Amino acid sequence: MSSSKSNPAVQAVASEMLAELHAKAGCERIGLTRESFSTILCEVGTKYGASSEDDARSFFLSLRVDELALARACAAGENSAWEIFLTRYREKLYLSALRIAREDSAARELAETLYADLYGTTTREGQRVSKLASYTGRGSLEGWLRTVLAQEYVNRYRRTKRLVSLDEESEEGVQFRAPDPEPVTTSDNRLALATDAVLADLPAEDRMVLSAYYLDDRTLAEIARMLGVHESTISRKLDKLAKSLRKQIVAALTKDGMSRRQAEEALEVDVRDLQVDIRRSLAQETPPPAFSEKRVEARVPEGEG
Amino acid sequence: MEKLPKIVGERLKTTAVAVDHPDADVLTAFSERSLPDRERSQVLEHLARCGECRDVIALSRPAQEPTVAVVRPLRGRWLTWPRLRWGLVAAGVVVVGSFGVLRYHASSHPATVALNEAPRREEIEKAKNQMEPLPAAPAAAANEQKKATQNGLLDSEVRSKLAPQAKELNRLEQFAKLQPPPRDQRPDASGTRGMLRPQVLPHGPKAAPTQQWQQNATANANNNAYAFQSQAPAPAVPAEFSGKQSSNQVVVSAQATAPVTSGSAIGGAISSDKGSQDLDTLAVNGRSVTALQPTGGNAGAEVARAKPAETMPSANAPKAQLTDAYAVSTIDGSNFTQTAPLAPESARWSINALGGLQRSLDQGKSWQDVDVTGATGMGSGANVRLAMKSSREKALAKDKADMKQAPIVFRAVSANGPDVWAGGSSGHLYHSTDAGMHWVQVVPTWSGVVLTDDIVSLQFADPLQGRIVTSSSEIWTTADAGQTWQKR
Repeated sequence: MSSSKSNPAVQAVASEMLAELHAKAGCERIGLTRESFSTILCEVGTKYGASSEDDARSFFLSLRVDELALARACAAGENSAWEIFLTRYREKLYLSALRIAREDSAARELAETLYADLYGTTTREGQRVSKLASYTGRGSLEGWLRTVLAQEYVNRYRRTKRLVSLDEESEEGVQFRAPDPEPVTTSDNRLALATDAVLADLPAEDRMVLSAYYLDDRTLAEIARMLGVHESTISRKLDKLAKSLRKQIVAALTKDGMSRRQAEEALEVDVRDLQVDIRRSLAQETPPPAFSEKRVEARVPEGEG
Repeated sequence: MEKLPKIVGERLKTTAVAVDHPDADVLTAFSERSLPDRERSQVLEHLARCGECRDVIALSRPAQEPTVAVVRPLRGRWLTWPRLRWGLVAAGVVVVGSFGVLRYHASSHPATVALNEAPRREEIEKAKNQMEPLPAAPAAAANEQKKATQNGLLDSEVRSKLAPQAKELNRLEQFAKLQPPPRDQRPDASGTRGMLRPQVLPHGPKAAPTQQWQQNATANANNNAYAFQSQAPAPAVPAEFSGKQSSNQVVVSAQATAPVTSGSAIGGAISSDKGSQDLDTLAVNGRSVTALQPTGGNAGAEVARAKPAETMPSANAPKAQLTDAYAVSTIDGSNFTQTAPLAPESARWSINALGGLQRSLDQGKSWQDVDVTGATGMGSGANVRLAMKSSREKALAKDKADMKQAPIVFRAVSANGPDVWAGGSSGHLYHSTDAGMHWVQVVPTWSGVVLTDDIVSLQFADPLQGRIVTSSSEIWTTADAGQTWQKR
């Protein structure tokens, strides 16, 4: 993520480890020369922004150099590399696309689009630019392909085909409301400030879990898989967070001069405001059937209480 | 879970800012948890704000992961654990149950009357029926009846000690009883003593005591014309016993070595132990005689006189004599009435918490400790016990030197009428054929192997056939009342 142009430490380590990594990656088989592999290593290391030689060394050792070499050889148009790539990943790519798009035609379209990108239909300065050239070997090539598919799907499909599924619809709602400029905390600015402060104190992971659960409507299992933990961990974490957030916001409000009762009322009142707001913003945007079941369920207690 | 204040969600949303998204490489590495901590927290921070990247992460998860990571471990656990758990419980129940069954068997066996013994018993009973109505009579009434049926009483008591012995002896006894005039206890006393002699032989010294027996017989015969009668077939009896003895692998350690210290001069034919056993027997006789005193005043004297003839060479013979006399003079009728009606054959046996052997003669109402190394009589007075103790101490001290004087902890006892086996720690096995009056230590050996482990279970289905289980799960069996053993 650093864009420093030349990193001497990285270059030194790259040249030092070149022979080892070159052999490990099996570059000879796929027609990748030492020189071009060295260039790739320097580029990857520089992009990572290694701070020291040790850092760079451990970074290079953690790389999946064989997959990196394969991807880069494909990007360079090596036929032998493409053969290997296709035999290894063609089927998996389509299955991943199917999982993401959840329907065959969309999956095929998604996969085809990605193939075009991988092969490099776009040109820059007269040269094909393959998407594989951006693979740096930090994760598995297969995982990278899935991520790229997901990104493609998120960027393109969700925009163009809004009514594909209920889930997407709810996601769309979230996406749509996020930039919603309408002020919802008009009643008391202190509440928003206090909430922001409390949220800012939370670890990033907790905020991510909150967002994924309450904003994205991800299931506990999905969040657990995203973070690589057990479902029950997420469940406990959410329970704890909901309790402690309420407590902390009330505490912050009372610190600001509100009475405890006022603070709790402010929280409740704001919920009602918010609920109205959600209804309004959603109703104007999408027809009722578009709501996901969960969203509808979530609104019922809000309407009652 | 739904308690989160909506303001929180709202603020979360407003803090979402679209910044530079991490590239696919970094997101992949995040999903695969291969990012260093520093970068991981950066990505988390971004994910907390960026719904798009959260979606990408959520969508790009691998296909197999959910079933592998979440479902299967759960299912596996639920399928395997309860089975294991219940399996363990079931195994425990089986173990406890089988242990209980074994214990039940062990405790129920000894109650059976030995088959071998049955015919002899019947004979005895027949003889008894003619002579003694007493044994079944209650203790209180016994006092009265005793005097009228002195002979019968004496007879029954003596017989109770003799019960498991050879058939011939019983016949002899009946002879001796039936022949003399009922009121004459003198020949009776010596006659029964004559009977008692072979009784102690089976586990006595290995040397065939036939000669000694004959000597004694003649000695007794001086006093008793009936004794001749009774002893006429006697040589055959000890011969049989000696035959058994010679083929016997049982090492009779304690009592057999006793003569050395007691200074027996008769070539060890009669050991001091035997002497003391005789003393014991005499004491019993003396007790019987005491009851007879009203009619036969010098019975005790007779006993005392007869005694030296038997144990003459024994160093403590004089003492025994004295003791005898003392016992005769001091033991009164009440003592007698307590013990007489209680047939030792009906004794109950038990082991107390400390591993001590206990016997009850009154159906479990009271229990007395039984010392197998210095077996006492039927509670016939401390004086007798003391006297015997002094005579035995030396011998026992030596005998027990290799036992290190450790108290024997009994763990199993098996009784068939008067035939009692008790086993305990370090292979200690004791056998009594007279309901605990006299004990002989039995050391089972087989092919040169000596039983030294703790005996945890004893089963004697009859006086001949027995089975021992040791703490090392060895099973020793005997089919000849402990004379030879087989290990399994």
